[in-house]
Amino acid sequence: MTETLQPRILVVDDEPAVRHLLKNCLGSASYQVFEAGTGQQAVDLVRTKHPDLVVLDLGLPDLSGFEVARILREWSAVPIIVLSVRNAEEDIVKALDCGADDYLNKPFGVRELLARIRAALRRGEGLGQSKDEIFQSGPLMVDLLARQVSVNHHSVSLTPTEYDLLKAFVRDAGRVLTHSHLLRAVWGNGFSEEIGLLRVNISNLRRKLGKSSSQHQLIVTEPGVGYRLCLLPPASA
Amino acid sequence: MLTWPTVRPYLFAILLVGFATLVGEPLRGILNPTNKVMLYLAAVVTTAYFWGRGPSNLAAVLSVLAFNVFFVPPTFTFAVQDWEYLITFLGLLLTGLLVSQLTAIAKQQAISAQAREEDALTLLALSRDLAKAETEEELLTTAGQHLDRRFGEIRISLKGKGEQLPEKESSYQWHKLKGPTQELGQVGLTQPTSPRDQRRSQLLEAILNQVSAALERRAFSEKAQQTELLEASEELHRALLNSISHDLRIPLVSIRGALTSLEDRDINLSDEARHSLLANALSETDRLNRLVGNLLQMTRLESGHLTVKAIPCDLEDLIVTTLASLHDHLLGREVEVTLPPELPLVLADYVLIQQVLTNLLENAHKYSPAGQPVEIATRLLGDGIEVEILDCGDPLDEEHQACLFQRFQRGRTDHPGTGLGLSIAKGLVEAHGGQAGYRRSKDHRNGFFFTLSKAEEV
Repeated sequence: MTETLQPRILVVDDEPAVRHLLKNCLGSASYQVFEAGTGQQAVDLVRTKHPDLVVLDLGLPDLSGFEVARILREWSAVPIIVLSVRNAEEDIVKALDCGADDYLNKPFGVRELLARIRAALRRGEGLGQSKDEIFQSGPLMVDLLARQVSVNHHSVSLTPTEYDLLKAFVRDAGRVLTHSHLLRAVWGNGFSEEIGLLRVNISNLRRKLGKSSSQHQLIVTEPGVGYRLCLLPPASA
Repeated sequence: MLTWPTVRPYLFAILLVGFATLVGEPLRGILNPTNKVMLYLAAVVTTAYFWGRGPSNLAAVLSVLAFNVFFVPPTFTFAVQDWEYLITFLGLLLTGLLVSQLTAIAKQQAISAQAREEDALTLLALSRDLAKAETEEELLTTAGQHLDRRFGEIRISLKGKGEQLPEKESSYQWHKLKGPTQELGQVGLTQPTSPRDQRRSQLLEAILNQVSAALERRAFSEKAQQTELLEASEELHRALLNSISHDLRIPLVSIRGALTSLEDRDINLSDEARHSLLANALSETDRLNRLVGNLLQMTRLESGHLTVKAIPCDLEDLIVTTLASLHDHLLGREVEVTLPPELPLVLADYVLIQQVLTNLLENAHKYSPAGQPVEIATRLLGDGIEVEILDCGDPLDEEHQACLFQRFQRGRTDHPGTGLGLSIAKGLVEAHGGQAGYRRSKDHRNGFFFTLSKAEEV
């Protein structure tokens, strides 16, 4: 693999120890890594180096992570993965609303981070291209052209709302979707606070897609933030 | 200056002597003149009793003159035929003066006795009211009220309490409030006492002494209370620090141990050992993370900075998500979940109730024998939902049950833990308006339950 083909990742964190960890881990996963310790530095580096992805800490000394995300979104579509400490769900939602693509709680597992980075990069590549017509994750198969959903090759009948909800998940598979994002996508702008409505439909959708073991849920709850459709290897059965 | 109140008693004295003369006049010839002296003595005593020494002295002198003029022949002149009457005059005068002295003294004593009693009552009432006062403010108000009755308008300023001493206000007479050990402040009075009025100054001094003593007593008891509180909170901090530093260090031991043995090239680890070390270190980091989360939550609960954002939540989702996040920690322990069909949404702050479930599950896992299943049972109760976590642990004795949900209380000290889990769970549930508790179930399991309210139908 030549150097130019290595995806380039900008790591933004004010903690040198975290930057060091990420540089090593991501470096050995054959990514090219830049570091920034402040928000302003991060914005400048995105402008000059055009990284393929940004890993962004929320607590920065100058600009907050939200501001960085907002500034970047004014002219860049670079995928942003937010790193945040636990007990800051509101901050995560805010960051996602500011344009971040995904988040990971600190302390995080490197394997999880690498998976998120791969998913985000894949989405970044697919941007602007037509999506696959068939989506698959574990036992779930969604034919977006025929509007057909099946689990373990058994057809599942969904209400129009449930189908729209599933479609919203499929469109951003693997990525966390906030409550208000889902509500706006499926019900429209006036419904962004109706979390109860969302919960009922998610619960129905989950029931229809079949109970999976607690380890491998298809639609995972991200406490206090939203939901995520997991990308699982296609079921062999 | 002659004023009506000072002149009036003398006028009464003159009138009484006149009255005695009028009464004696018709008795001329019936009574021996010397016996009429008795009438005049009566007038002198009466005057002495009611109007004091001066008027009665006047009455005594007037009596002698009137007796001479009206009853001693030759009448209506000051001349005296019989020189024996001079003895009568002298007797009347001396007796009159003496009686007036004695009566006046008796009167004076009666008055001062009454005044002393009044003072004593004032002081008694003051001490009673001061004892009732609970705050310093109440105490000062009470003192003010009692002083007010006797000494006009009152201003009390305490040392170190902000108010500047208005020294220059000459309308006030200032008295120091001296406690047994230090000067406490000053009291200003608009109706000053003069050094000559001994009784008033004595009363004032007694009142001020009582007020100072009460103030100082109050200050002492406040100080004692503060010291006690401080000691209690220091105790708490010590316990917290001991407990936390211990619990923070334990996971670090495994983590550091694993890392150093991996770093050391001289140690040849089998793949299995490597894996086991790493898995252990990993689960310890999770434990550390949960511990820090608990500490943070406790601080929020304690400081009242916890905001509960209760929104409709799917309890099943909450339970499943919590179990997924605890999967590694529960080490393959079987957890049964019983849910009633058609479980309504609950009103909850998802993240906080997740923590409640986490803490209760951790507790069940920690205190029940390995390999025995844990059950999460949910029940509909009127307008609420009860969640109960049941484990097969040993029954808890009453002493344990009583302090189960208190901070830093641990079921068994041979298990690691801060004793914060249950108290935080209870605090979080109560912040939702629910209840949390413990009961021994009918099938002899330990049940830790909490309630949540149902969300409105969507």
